[in-house]
Amino acid sequence: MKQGPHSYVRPVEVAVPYALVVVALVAAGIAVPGFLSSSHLSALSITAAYIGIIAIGQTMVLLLGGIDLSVPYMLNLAAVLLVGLQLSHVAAGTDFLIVIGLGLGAGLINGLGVALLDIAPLVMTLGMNSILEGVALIYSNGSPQGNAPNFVTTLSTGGTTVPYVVILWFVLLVIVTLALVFTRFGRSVYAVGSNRRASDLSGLPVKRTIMTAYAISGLTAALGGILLAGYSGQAYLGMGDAYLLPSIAVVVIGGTSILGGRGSYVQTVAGALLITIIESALITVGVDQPGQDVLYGGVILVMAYLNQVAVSDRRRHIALFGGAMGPLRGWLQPVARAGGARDDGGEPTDEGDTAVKSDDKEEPARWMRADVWHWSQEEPAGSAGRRARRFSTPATRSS
Amino acid sequence: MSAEPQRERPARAVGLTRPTWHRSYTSGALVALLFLIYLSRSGWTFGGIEALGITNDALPLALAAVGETFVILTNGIDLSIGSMITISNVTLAVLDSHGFGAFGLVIVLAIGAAAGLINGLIVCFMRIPPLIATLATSSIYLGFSLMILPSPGGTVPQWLSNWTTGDISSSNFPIAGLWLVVTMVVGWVVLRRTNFGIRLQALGGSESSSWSAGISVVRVRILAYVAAGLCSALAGVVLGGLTQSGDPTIGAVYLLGAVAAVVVGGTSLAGGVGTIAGSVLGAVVLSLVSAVLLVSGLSANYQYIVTGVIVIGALLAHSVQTKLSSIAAERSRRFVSVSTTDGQQ
Repeated sequence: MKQGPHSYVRPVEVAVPYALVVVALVAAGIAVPGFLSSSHLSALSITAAYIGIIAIGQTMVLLLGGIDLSVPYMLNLAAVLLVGLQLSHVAAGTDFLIVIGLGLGAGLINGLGVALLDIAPLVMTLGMNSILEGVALIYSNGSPQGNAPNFVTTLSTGGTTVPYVVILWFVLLVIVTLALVFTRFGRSVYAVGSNRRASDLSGLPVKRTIMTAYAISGLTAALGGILLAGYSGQAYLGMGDAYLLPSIAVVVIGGTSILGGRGSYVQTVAGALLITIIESALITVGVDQPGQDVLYGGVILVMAYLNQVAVSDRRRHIALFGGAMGPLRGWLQPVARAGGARDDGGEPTDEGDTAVKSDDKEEPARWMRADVWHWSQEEPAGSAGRRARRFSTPATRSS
Repeated sequence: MSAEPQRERPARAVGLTRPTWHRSYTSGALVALLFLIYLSRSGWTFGGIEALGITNDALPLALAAVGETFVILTNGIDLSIGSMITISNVTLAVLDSHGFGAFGLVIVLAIGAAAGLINGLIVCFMRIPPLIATLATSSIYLGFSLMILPSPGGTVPQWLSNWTTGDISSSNFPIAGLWLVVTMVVGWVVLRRTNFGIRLQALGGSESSSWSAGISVVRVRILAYVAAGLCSALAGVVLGGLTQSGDPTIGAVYLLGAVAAVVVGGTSLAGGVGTIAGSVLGAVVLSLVSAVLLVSGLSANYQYIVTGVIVIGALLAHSVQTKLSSIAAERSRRFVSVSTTDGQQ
């Protein structure tokens, strides 16, 4: 990359979720008196920080096109282990390191299974979740004993004007963003998420990248467990279950594609803020738990849909104005295309894709030309449907 | 591939079979193995009570797994299975306490199918990835369940309990075992002997090729989600019969349990390859695991670890199996191509 870091994220994609955060804040401030008071905002930011820190790993794994379903019991086991170690009088600091090491190790096993043994991420992390649940149950014997160490409680709940955990979150945000944009690992995450095979052929350390991402996911889930143990002062079984859906939801609401290769942690932070504001506003307005569940699902659906529309609109936009945009064109172009043809799982009815292709001034690819195409020919996935519709007669399409 | 591209209608179901049965052998072998371990632990006694416990445990999970199989065969995933089970369970309990009786059952099945239809419409027309779409609808359905029945309660008709639990009259054979067999047979017929089933497998194998072949991809995919909703509703009804009441937290276990049973049953998460019988056997494996641990006197806490290891191990076994067979196929293909070139020269 001679031109320096090429952005995988368009400014608009970051601006939209943050604009929604501001809109939600203003709306909640008008609807609920005292919503924008500093004490409430500080409580809000603490809640957002927990889910935001837990979602660091989930963001990386989703950027790779994977998923980590072992978050709930990774988190839970970390909390149970942390309070349990207090009873065995492990030195302060050592217990912290043991728990973090456990998260890292279990995450690494996830990564080994996914990268080396080719086990589907969904099943690998699902199985790992079950195993960690068993370990947590056996370790705690059903009822976790002990209290969180003082420094963890201070870290989770303390702070003067700005809570410590929010400062920690901000530091992590800076570190993660810099890592994703400037390091070899971060660039590999996007490349592998866009097209694993192309990355492999380009000589990127695909397997190492995947393993690192899952290890980080385990680490941040364990960190989240430590913080939550500090928040409630103790640990209980099932405390992680409430974090599976949100850890994925905040990433999706931020606009990161779960198909991989598109998005950033900055957007996830906006997603965490947005969901926390909406949830808090609903509680203060008096919407009960069932209503919150329904709205939670609705928000995810709407944001995922908008995100999906934004992708196809962008393609149409490029097809229409691509030639006139000149220097801006490279900036507007979907970055994934630089890494090679990306199968984004588009339906055969996807028209935007063809429009982009026809905009290029080059000779149409061989497989697109009607005169040379033969039905028995090997063809790129996802293309057959379009062509079949274009070139087939009604007789061949009757079903 | 056929040599005739201009086909009037897509392939008929009759006589079409695909060699996917070997994928369900693993779960069959696991069932046999676990059953032997169970017998050796229990001192070679296996009576009606034990069979009743295992089959009653397995039936709801098997129904959920069958529903999940339809969706996974289309290369999707349905994470709202658990919530659809919950919503049908609580609806059944509330409707019966309002005196709906058998008509309530019809309404419950319709609600399950409608929930599945909504999933399918969202996946097909809003084009949100199935994982996110069903995760979101899962939250929505759970919210509605909690609105319908905030805390466990309600009643379930007695005849329904008689039909889902207990033994077949004057024998030791549990009625849930009969339903397991019926599920397998019906699932086999739907998947192998109807046009829907064949098109479903074609869709999972290659969406673009199915489209070219004239299969209405959208319709088949939506029907798969509807089937998942219907199976979840059945599972919710069975759970209602077993527990004699409604419970808004009852479905949570089945979200991941169903996926686990499908994976143990040998259905490929990449879509297109799988069997209903495998998923049913996978559900039996998971309930046998807890039965074996129980009879061995081990803490039930070990159940989670063993289940996790079995799920990962099953998928590992299948990926190794696939790799070996693809290597073998590659070898034979190379052999054929070499011999044809020789023939031409």
